[in-house]
Amino acid sequence: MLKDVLKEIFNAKAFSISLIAKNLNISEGLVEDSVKELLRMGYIIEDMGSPTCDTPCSGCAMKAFCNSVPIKIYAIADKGKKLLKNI
Amino acid sequence: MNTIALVGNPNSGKTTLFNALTGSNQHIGNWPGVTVEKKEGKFKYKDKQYNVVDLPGTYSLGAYSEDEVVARDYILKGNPDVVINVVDATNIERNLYLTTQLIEMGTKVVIALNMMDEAKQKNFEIDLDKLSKELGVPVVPTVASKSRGLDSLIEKAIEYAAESENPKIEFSFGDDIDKEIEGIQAILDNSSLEYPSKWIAIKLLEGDQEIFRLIENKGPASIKERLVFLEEKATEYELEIVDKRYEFIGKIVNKAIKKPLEIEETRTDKIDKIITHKYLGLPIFALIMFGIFQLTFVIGGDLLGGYVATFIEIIGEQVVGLLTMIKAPEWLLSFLSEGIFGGVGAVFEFIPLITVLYFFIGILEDTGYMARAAYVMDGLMRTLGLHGKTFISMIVGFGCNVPGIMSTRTLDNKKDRMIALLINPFMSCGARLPIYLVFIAAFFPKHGGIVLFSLYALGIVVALLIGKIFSKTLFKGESSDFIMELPPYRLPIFKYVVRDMWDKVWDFLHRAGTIIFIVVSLLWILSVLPFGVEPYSQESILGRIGTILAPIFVPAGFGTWQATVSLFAGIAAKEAVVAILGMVYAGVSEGSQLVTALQGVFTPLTALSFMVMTLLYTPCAAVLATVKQETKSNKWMIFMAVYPFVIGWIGAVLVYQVGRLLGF
Repeated sequence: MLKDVLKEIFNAKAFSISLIAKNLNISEGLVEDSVKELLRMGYIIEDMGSPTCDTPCSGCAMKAFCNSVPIKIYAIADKGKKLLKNI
Repeated sequence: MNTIALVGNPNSGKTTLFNALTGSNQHIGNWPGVTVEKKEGKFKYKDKQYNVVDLPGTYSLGAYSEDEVVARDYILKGNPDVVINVVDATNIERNLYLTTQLIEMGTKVVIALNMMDEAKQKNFEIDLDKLSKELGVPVVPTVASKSRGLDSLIEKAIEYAAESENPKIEFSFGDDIDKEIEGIQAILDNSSLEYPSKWIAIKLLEGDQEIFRLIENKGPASIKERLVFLEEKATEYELEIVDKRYEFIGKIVNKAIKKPLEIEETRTDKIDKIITHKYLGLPIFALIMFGIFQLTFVIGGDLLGGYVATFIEIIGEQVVGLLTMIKAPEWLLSFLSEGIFGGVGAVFEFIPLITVLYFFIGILEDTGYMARAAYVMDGLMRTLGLHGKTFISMIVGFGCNVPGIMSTRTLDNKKDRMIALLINPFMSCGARLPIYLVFIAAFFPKHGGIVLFSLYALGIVVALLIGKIFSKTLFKGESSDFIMELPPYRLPIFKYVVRDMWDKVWDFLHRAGTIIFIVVSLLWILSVLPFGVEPYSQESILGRIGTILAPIFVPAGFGTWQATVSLFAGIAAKEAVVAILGMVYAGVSEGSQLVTALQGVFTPLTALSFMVMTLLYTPCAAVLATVKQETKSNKWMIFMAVYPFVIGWIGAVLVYQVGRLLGF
């Protein structure tokens, strides 16, 4: 299942949890867990320095410009690319 | 038997079950050495007292969070007589992942299949006997929130704890991994480690660092020698092991549960089909932005506009009148009247419009649309050889170019980052809004939305074109790929939108009250000196400086010393442009209103040319300082100060000269 999720992410420029869940006919919770596992294992990488924050930090000079909805960005890591070649 | 441990995913109803069992008989503390809360309680069942330990909610039993380590250590070392695994029946596949790990541990597990009422509402048909048989552990249906099924659960847990055998179900991780597990297990079986040897073997092949440390310290020499090899193997097997668990769960779920046939397309996906459409996405984005600008003028301009201006005018008149009565010095009256109320006051007049615009942008952000906007622009960005992430920093730049530039840190590739950084100031920041608004009010009151939209669009177009030029000249190379997760759409929460809007407006007011005040004060001094000259005249120091520089802007149609000094003051902070115009034009016409004054010295064409210049020219000092900080280079800071000025000047000259040729 993790490989299927990785393939879905790779094939899309933008993905939503719900769309992958629909395509693979599994629950959204399961997709969320899969994405977390893929991240943890280093198959995908998340941009930690996302320009948009979940909540504005008090005292941050940029807090007025924080989006209330964060944009999460991922890249397929070399480990992930290697795995995709073998699938 | 007297100790029961409760374990389960967050939101599975575990704590509700704990509260239902123990009532007020609870004790809350901390697990030793960590900040994780420890909840213990007692209850009586058939005259016998039992202890219950509520373990932290967790999705798995790895070693990736304190919660996971606390839960698994307690299960393995705390020796509970039985573990009740609370499983959310409406999200069974996800919850069973934890169950498989409990079974791997060889723990005595009883499943409390909770939220059965909700599962029924969703038309899930769960065959409890089959589920129990496939998992090899007892399954008891419960609705903890209504205290249903709790007696059966306790009865079953006590009964199961008394049994001598632990779960028997085994599942295969595939031949290679199974063989490795057997090999490790054979070595560990005679060791005195406190964990089951098979579980240690699985964890080693999953690359669990806690277990690697355990083996390093206490493991037999024969396994210590293999640790490097096992660590390598773990990178290969880790995903396979997790995948096999999900495969096992999938098979069980297929056998024991019948769900409504297919997962329906969500509302988010339906909307996204249109919003992020290959061809429709961009026009929709443009339409949304245009709609926002139009609405801003309808509400902020037509309905709210004017009140603040009138208010400031009345206050100004009252203050100056009062000071005249008490015979305050002339210079103070002039400073307050022209400098503060005429200058800084002119910036404040546009607060209603700015507030309304931020409100609508807040709504857009809160719905999750901004991620779509970045995605929609991604295709265009790639066509131009730019990284798609650049547009995200550009969106941030619409608020303020400082965080916009700082957000380019997320671009790993130096080429992508430098381009994103250098084009960011073409994104029209909030500080430039008052400049557009005052000129729109003076010359395009009926077409405010379209003019504002065109300026923002022009900023994007220029940024993309310059980015393309940079990618072909200064910064050649490949852009890296990225994938974006689109969050689900949600209804904006009014409270958050208003809070966000207020933060931005407050920031604007704060700048107007500090930086702009200082800039206006300094330039006011220059505009009344030397003594003896007519204040705000061409003979003042400010007038003389402006007169020297003004010829630069003659080809752009606004070669007056007033326009020139306001533009250069804007390099300190963009809001200062309006403030300085307000100050130097105060008293030019009847009523000393800036809008009226501008109508007397600009034409619609020169106004447009001036707005294009302010959109594109040198960013403010804070941005230049940020560029220096981010690039660690004075060269790039100077480049950032000069090249947008040239672009802005070319843009303004083009607008004016082409406009003249067309007869405007």
